[in-house]
Amino acid sequence: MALRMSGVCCTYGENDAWRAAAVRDISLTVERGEIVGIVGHTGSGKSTLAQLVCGLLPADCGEIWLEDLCLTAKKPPKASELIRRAGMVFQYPEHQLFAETVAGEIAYGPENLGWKPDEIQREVRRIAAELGIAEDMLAANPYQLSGGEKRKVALASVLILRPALLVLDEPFVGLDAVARQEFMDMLLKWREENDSTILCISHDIDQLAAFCRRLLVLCRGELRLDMPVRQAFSQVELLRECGVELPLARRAVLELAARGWPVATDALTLAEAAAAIKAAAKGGDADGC
Amino acid sequence: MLMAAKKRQIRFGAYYPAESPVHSLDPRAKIIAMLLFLTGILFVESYAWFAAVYAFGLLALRLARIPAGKAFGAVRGLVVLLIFTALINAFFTRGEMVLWQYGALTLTLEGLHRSALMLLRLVAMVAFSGLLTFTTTPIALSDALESLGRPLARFGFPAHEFAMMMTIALRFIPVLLEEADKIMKAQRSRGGDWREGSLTRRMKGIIAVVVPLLFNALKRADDLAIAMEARGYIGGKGRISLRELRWRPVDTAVLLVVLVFVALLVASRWLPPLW
Repeated sequence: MALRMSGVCCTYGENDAWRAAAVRDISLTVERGEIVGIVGHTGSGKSTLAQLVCGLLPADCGEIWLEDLCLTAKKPPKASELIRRAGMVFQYPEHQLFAETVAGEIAYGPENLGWKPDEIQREVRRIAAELGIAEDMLAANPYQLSGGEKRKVALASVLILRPALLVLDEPFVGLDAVARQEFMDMLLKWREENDSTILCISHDIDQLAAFCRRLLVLCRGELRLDMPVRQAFSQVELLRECGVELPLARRAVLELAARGWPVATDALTLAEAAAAIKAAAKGGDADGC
Repeated sequence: MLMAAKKRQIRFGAYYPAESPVHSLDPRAKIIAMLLFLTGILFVESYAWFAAVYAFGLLALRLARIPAGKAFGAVRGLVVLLIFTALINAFFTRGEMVLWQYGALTLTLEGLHRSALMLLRLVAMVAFSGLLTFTTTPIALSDALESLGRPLARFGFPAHEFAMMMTIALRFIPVLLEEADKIMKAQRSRGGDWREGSLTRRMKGIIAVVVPLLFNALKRADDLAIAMEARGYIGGKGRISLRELRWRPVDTAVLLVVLVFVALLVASRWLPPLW
């Protein structure tokens, strides 16, 4: 078990007009190796949930466990213990870059945790190779890189710590289609090699449908749905109520089905939709004969 | 401590919304009256006149529907300064009536007297300046400053630009706070916390927050400048305001009352002592 939350709530503001519940009564378990997507309307509590999981925000009630570490215990966990178990990549992580060189940026986390210099050097090169950051880029100034490269560097600066649970807040936003695909493949490969767990918040429903295996839907601070992604996108009514749209592929097959086509309606990706439509078209021909 | 992160609600500006005759005064009248009042307080040298100042201030707070506790709450932030000032005044004033002596430290009756007056003065100034900031929105304040500064434009004082700068700065403070919060959390997620560790680590932790914050702020300023120019902004020349300030008879009346009171405070130095 990578993560367990039970009855977790978190409220912003104290006893005054600014008080607002961000998340209410969240309970869930995530097993090691899962890729879980989190969707919901703006203000539904996604980011609050992510920060709670990473110990960046204290919960007001309930329990949060990362493996064998309790985040909600009286005595707060040590930073080094926490960072090993959960790493957070914020939205637009390239906005947090500060070092003079890419290598310095990536080494910041290990330095804080007191790794040995030669170990840091080795690890920086290792993570750079894994994420496809060229050797000569390590000496460059991070501010002079392109948007996609900056994001890669920011990601590397968290991944070098090899967190067991990786929390991503809108990792795909602002990237073009090619970079998005590349970024996703890179994350999947990294997860595979490190046997880690991923929680991913995203508004990019198509990317998310291809990326994760399980979907959580948050609505006004409450966990409304927790299902394997294929079934989750069949809960059309609930998703509409929560302001979550369907993936393009699913919308396409549903439209065809609504027009009387005998097409399977469980597609998640465009490739699956194409296959379903092809199969239906062949079946249609057979009927015609 | 990662978990010690305080959940801070982002709130800026002291404005205290309420319906009151003070809230609805012209902000220019309030600024002038406040400047006069604060100047007047500087002239007060006796307990009796301080009683008058506090009575006047409390009456105004009552009229403005601001709880006195809220106004005097602002004093809390200055406790260290106040204690320091009081001690300096108490121990370093020379006088005849020595109450206590230890080495170079001498406590005199005159010193106690001076430090009590100084405390009364500082507390009054801090608490009653809330009469302006609690009852006036930052936007109204900046409009009023622009209007008051306009006569100076003849001598090259950029009144409009000054007010615009103030408005923009105020507008972006919450944005910067939010961004700082995000960057701090991102760096903490990489083990960078300037509240623990050695001095060099702490320094590096601060740099890791300040550098990106500054970089993003400059970038945002650049974007804003371009966006404003793209919408035809050319500075204060020929520009009119959406919010018209209106000076009413009541503003004049309030100003006169304050003027008379302040004149009395100033004159109190030369009047025979009441006590």
